[in-house]
Amino acid sequence: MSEPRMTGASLDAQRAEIEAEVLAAVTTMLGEVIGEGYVAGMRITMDSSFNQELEIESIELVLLAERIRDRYGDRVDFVGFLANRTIDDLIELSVGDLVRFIVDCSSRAAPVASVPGQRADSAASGAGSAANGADPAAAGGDGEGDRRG
Amino acid sequence: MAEVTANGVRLHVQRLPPAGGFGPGTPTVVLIHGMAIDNLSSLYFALGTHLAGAGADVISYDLRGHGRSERTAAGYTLSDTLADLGGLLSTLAVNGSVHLIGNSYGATAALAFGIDKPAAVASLTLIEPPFQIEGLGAEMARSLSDVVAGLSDEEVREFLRNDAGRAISRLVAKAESLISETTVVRDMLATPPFTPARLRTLRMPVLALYGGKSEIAHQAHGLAELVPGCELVVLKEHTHMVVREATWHVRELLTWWLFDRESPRPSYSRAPFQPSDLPVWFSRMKMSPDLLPWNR
Repeated sequence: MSEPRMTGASLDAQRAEIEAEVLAAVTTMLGEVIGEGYVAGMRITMDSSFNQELEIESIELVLLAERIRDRYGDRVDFVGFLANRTIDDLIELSVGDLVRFIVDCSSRAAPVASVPGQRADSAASGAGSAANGADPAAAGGDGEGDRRG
Repeated sequence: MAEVTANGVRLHVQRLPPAGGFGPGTPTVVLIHGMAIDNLSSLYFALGTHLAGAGADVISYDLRGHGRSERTAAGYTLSDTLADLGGLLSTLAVNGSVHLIGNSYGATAALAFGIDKPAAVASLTLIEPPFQIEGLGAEMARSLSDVVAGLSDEEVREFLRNDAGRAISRLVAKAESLISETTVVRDMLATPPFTPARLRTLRMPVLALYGGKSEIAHQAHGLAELVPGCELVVLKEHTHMVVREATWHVRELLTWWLFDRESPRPSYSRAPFQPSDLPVWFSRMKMSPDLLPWNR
C-alpha cells in the first residue's frame, strides 16, 4: 500500500496549521514576558511588529529568546538567528518572521519547509543589515543606550 | 528568567553556551554593560549571540539596579560592582579565568576587576572606559548628572510624555528611579582613581576600544600608555556609542581577539550605517547644577 501523496494545497494547510500553533505559543510567551495585561489589550498576529505595535523592550526580547530556547531547544537555533543581526534588525522584525523561523527550524515542519516553491524564510537567511548609528531608544528599542558613566 | 544570588543581591543572568559545544579551549566571556540607561540586552545582542555562535561560553548579566536585577537602595560603589561580579563567577562555578568585555562603566569595572583579581581574568576588552587617574569619581557622577539634567529638560519631558513610546519610557523611568531613589550618584562620586602603579601591574592582554568622536576619546592614550602591552583601537568615525554604531566591526574585532589573535588585527571598513536619529536631547545632555541629586 502506498503512502497517500500530499498535494500542495494540503501541505499549505498543514503549514498554516503549524504556524498557527507556533503563533499561539509565541503569543503566550510574549504575554509572560511583556505582561499579560499589556498583551491582552492587543491582537497579536503574524504581521505584528515587535517595535511599532508591541513596543517591546530589548530586555524583553532577551527574555523571549530565553523562552524560545527553553521551549524548542536545539531544534531551533535561535541564538544563531540572533547572531546574524543587530538589535536594529531585530526590532524591525514581525511576529510572523519569528514564527516562520521557528516553523522552518523545527523538525516537524521540515518536510513542509522543503517543498519547492514554499517560502524559504528570508528572516533565517542570516543576511543581516549593517549596523546603524541610531540610538536604541530613538530606534524604538532600548539596548545600548547608556550614557557615559 | 535565570536569576542567581551573588554577593547577597539577586542578579539576572543570561548564559549562552558555545555553538558546537564545550571544548578544552572554549573561552568564557563575561559581558558588563554600562550605567543607568542600559542593561544586559545591549551587549547580549551586539556581541553575546555572535560570540556564542563563534564558540564562546557567554555570560551576560544585569548590573545591580539595572534590567531585571534587584534594585537595592544602596551598594553602587565600584567595589560593590566588583564584589557582585566576583560573587557571580563564584555562584556560577566558573572554572578558570574569564575574558571580560565591558562597555562604558562596565569597562571601568572590568579594568578594576582585572587589577584586583588578575588570576581570574584571561583578558580585558575595554570599550569606551571612562578612565582618569584624577577625578574619576567626579567624572562618573557627572555623567549620571548629565542624564538627570537631560531628562529634566522640558522638551525632553514632552518627548517622553507624547512620543517616546513604551520601550523608551520604561527604560528612562528605570534609570530615573535608579538615580533618584538609590545611592548610585553618591557611590559613583566615591569611585577611587586608578593609580599608575597598579595599572602597570596588569599582565593579561588588554584591548581598549574608543570612538574617535567620543567625549572621552582623549583618555584613550593615557590608558594605553599605562597598561603594558595594551592594544588600542580608536575608530575615528564613531562616538561613545561605538558598539551600537559599529556592531559588525566590533564583532570581528572580538572574534579575532578571542580566537585568532596570532593573525593580523581585522582592519576597519566603515559599514554603511544609517545616520543616527538620536534625539538631540539625548546626545547633548548638559549638567545643570540645580538638578544634581545632591543639591536638591
